[in-house]
Amino acid sequence: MNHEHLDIVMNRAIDGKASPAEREELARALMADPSLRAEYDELVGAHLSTVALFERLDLPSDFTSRVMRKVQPDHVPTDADLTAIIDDNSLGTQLAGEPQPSPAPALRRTALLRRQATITTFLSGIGALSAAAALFIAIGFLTGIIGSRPQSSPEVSGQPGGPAARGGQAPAPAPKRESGTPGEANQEPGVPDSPKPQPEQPERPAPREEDEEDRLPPVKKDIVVEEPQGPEPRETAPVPRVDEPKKDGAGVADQGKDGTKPPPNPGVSEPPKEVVGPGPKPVPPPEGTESQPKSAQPPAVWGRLLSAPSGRVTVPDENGKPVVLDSEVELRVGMKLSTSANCVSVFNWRGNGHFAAGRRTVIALASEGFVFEDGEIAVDFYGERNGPAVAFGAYMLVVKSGTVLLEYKTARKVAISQSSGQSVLKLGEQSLVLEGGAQVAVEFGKMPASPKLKPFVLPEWCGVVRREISLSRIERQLSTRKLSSSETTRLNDQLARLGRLPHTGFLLSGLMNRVLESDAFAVKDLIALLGEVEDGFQSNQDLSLDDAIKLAFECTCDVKNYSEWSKRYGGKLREFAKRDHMKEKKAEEEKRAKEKAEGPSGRDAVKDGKKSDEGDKSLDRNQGDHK
Amino acid sequence: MADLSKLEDAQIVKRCLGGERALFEEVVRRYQNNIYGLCLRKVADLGQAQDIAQETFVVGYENLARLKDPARLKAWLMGIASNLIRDYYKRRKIAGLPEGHDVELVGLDPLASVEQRERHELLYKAIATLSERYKAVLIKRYLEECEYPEIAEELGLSVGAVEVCMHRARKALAGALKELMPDV
Repeated sequence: MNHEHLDIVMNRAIDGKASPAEREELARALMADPSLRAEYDELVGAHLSTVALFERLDLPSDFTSRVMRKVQPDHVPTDADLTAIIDDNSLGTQLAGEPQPSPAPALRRTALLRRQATITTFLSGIGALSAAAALFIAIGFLTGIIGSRPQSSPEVSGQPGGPAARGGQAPAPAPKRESGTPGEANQEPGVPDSPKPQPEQPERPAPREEDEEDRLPPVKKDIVVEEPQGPEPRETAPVPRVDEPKKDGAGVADQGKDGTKPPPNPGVSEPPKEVVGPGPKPVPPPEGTESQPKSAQPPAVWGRLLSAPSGRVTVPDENGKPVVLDSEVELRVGMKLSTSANCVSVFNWRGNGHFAAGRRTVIALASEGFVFEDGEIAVDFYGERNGPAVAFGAYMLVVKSGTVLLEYKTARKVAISQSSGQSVLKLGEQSLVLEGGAQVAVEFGKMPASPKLKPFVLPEWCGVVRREISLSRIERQLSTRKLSSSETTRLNDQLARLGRLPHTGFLLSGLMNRVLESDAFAVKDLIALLGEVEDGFQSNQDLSLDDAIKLAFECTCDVKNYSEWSKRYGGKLREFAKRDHMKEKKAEEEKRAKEKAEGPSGRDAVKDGKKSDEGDKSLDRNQGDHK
Repeated sequence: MADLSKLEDAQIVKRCLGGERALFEEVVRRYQNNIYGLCLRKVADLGQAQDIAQETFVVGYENLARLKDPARLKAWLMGIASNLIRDYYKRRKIAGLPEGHDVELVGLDPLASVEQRERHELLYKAIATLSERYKAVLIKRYLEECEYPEIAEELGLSVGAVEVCMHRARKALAGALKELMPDV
């Protein structure tokens, strides 16, 4: 009997697809050959184990719901989820728990459609209630509690169980769709929007007093703001008033420790050695604003919304209705910002850091940072003072330097990825240091284990906003050059790619400014140069992107043109690789010596697999069907 | 209301773009196993595979209007997943991690006994040692529940070749298990 034919028959028998004739044939062969019997038994064992394993590896039963919640905040949940809502549990709180049995797909769909009409109303009600509750509680935290804490311990929403918006409430869309109108979050092109509620005209904010600006931290004189040249800043939409902080409220925390008043907020800040342009003009207060009673101080300035290249950033007014913020608007402590379904946006904090907020992100601005309530946010900090403190649940993450990405995975799980630099995660007295490449999964209630070193590239949306930041830093230089549309596209693409990689923002903008200042380089040379920097980084495992940028910067000195730069840079990279190679060689030799000392270890399974794989190549050629 | 499972991909895409965005749920249900299977084949970290699978659908949803041929929805989604997987490996390189698989099983049923979980972990490691083709066949069959003709079409083999390949994959797996679990 042809052995290959028998292999196929055994296979079919295991799959339960053998015909009666094949089963009989197999039974005879197994009886006649004990070794074949043993082989067959092994195969059956492997099959059964694999079936059991893949049952465990199945996607979680709520995978579809999770996806739909990410793409549509007003998604109607499935039956299993409905029970969770009705029982007032949050969705997605199954922390590695038992997978819920899901009904048969057809039955689920029918039931789903039947309930759709009722659920829409139900969720809208929950959404409105949750939004109102979240707003009141958040304002209570931020205006009352924050201010009463000393400066050294930034506000944390210390309530166990997480920020108010999440505590035991029904799941999103609550904080994101204050209007409660279904479908409002659908901003995707081509999708007709539901009628949007018109935001009411909010009260105009109090006039800014001189000393408000002075409360901001001191800024280095040569730190620049890359303000777009052009007409006077347009009058921004009036910012809704947030409840006044208490007298010992947030504003006090922003003063220096010695009580001195810091100079005005310049907006985007750069570290020394990078003078790009004049400082910004402060946004004039809207005319006709009400004056504040002297005893109540307006909330301190937190920073600025720099841009929202897509979608909208909203803040609730006094009635809880969302008001869209224009870019360049000044942000104040106590505001609660939400980004829409298609919105990525970038904020500047105190002139020393940027926050890139992803879609459907909710943050409440605090004096020492912000409370992170939902969505995903990347923090870039490069100042010399203490970095921003990000509070979520009972946790606080203090970003000391570099870039960190936080993402709400479920109501009680936050993923933190440190791209570069360092931050410290605190829970009560415990703390955990995170450095470049570190990732932790935070499950509310306990400190995560040691951070894992995992590859980390910022998500695409983040690359987009960091590109915006990079472009804003070189805008003055760029404006003196004429870019063709293809150059614009290529530069944008390159910066978006670099934006996702771990690097220090001001180093990159420093390099770009140097290149653009020099007559030796055209814009196309800048694009090519950035490409070489990226390639150099990708092809040298031990070379960080910051180092690649610094090497590139060094090579810009005294070169006549791009081609001279390129040769010099190539030389530098080769030198680096050579140093690397020597290190690798040494490490390899040490490893071999160690293995030799420990004795051989084999993985015949691997060899077997590979051998059989070679045999498989014959399968590609003229393998007849066995029917 | 029509049974959504009977709708063609092109019809679903058209209706989604026409405003019935909730229909995308059907797309997810239809292809989640295929996408996840692809991710598991290429990314041994279970948690990462799930994340990439989820991200695939999110990206697909957000870019649905850019799909030129709605009839090729599945292939398009697989392409997105492949790109995300490629990005994942780039990131591994950036962090200086070895290119080989780093097998970690997370998310198993915590109520399963320790022995069961250990066995599953060893089995998963055994699968991870197999060649790409064997892994592909096993995952397509066991996870994605594809029939042999479908597997043959996707892998560019004849049905018979796939059956032989499956047999050899099981044999290799049995051998690997023997190595890792000699007591069993």
